[in-house]
Amino acid sequence: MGDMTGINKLISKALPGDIILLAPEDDMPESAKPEKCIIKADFDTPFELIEYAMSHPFSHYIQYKADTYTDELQISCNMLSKRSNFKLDGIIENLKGEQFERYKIDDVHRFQFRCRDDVGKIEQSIEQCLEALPRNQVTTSAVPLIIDEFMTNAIYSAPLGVEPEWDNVRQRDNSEIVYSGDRCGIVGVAANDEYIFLECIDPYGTLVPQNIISGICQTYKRGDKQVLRDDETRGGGIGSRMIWDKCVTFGINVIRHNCAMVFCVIPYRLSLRKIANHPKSLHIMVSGE
Amino acid sequence: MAMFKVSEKLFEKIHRLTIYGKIAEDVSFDGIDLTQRTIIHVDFKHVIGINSGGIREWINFMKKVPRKSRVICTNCSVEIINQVNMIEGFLPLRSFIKTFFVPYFCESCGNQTEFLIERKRRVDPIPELDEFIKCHKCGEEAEIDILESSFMAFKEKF
Repeated sequence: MGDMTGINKLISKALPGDIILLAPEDDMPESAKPEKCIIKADFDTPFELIEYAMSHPFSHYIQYKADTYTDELQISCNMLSKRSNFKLDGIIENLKGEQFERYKIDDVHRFQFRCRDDVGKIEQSIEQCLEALPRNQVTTSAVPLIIDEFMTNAIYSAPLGVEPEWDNVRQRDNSEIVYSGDRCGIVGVAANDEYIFLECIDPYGTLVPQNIISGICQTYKRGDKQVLRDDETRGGGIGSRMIWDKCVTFGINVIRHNCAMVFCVIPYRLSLRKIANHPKSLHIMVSGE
Repeated sequence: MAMFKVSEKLFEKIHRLTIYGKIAEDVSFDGIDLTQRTIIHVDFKHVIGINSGGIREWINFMKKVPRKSRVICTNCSVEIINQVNMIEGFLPLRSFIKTFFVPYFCESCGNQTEFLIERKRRVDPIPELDEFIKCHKCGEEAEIDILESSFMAFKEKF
């Protein structure tokens, strides 16, 4: 666990005094705002964290017994202080160069997308970016799956309510599934000696984080096909759960009616079994209500 | 990247389907008549992934399997087994998972090895799996990368 003096300095240096570090059992001070609270958690399982987040809508939930606690705290502070930069550069780009212990990011590869046909091309490009890494379930299966889920949601779900007649977009040919005007999304990828960082930004900002958290929670509780939503125009909890199982950090940043970012951190030198049960951190921010 | 396709072959008693590529939301199983034989053999060997939209398409496809027919699955990856365990309806009743892959992960070098496990009949016990094997790449210990109790849940039904 990191040095508490250093962590307190980190918070006080980066942010105004209204940032609060709370344990799950603590009461939030009356003067505090949930969006400025970082929950210092010690949950035994990923499900406990998700269940807690469902009923306690704070912004950041980080596991203080995890090796990456100070890095997760750094991410929380970064997200709170640099929010205005994200819609241009994304979260991973803004983490580049920060003083992390293990999440050090030097280079970020970014790819633009506008249509369904871009998914396969970007997956291939990312495969090339990561070709120096060991070939295992994380690099050959988990990463493509997460990118696919990110982009599928960005293309099929994000434009709903904004692009005309997007409700029946799945019936169209792939060549007709294109963002209008000059809108485009961005996929970001970075890697260091231990971790892969993935991000997807859509240009709509319609994502509702609570729906994702609820979907993941339902897969734990129900675990059957009922989790797949009847409404085929929106994704079900299955996709979100697949991502959640394969990462140790999951983050969502929505600027309403502008853009939405999802990102995750994946250790590629751990087995998928260990990753699925690894202490996880969750970051959720919404602005522009 | 491999395009999605399904190749079919009809034998005297068996309808064999070999699936290639990624099972995604834009795949189509239209035109595949599952009523032609009572044994449907699905080979997942060339499937490179399945996303949440693809799961939906697959389940709708499996709904067309006649009640009296039997689906036999081979070369099931970990991801396929995970979906079988997690999602009711991923396989119809009377299905049988004949062969599936079990992965081992080496934390020393990050390498992964997979072994194909075969079952002759549903009632046959799964062969005992070693928790550790020697990594083929670096020689260090590679650990089985499944939680055996939950991963093997499928054998009670399929």
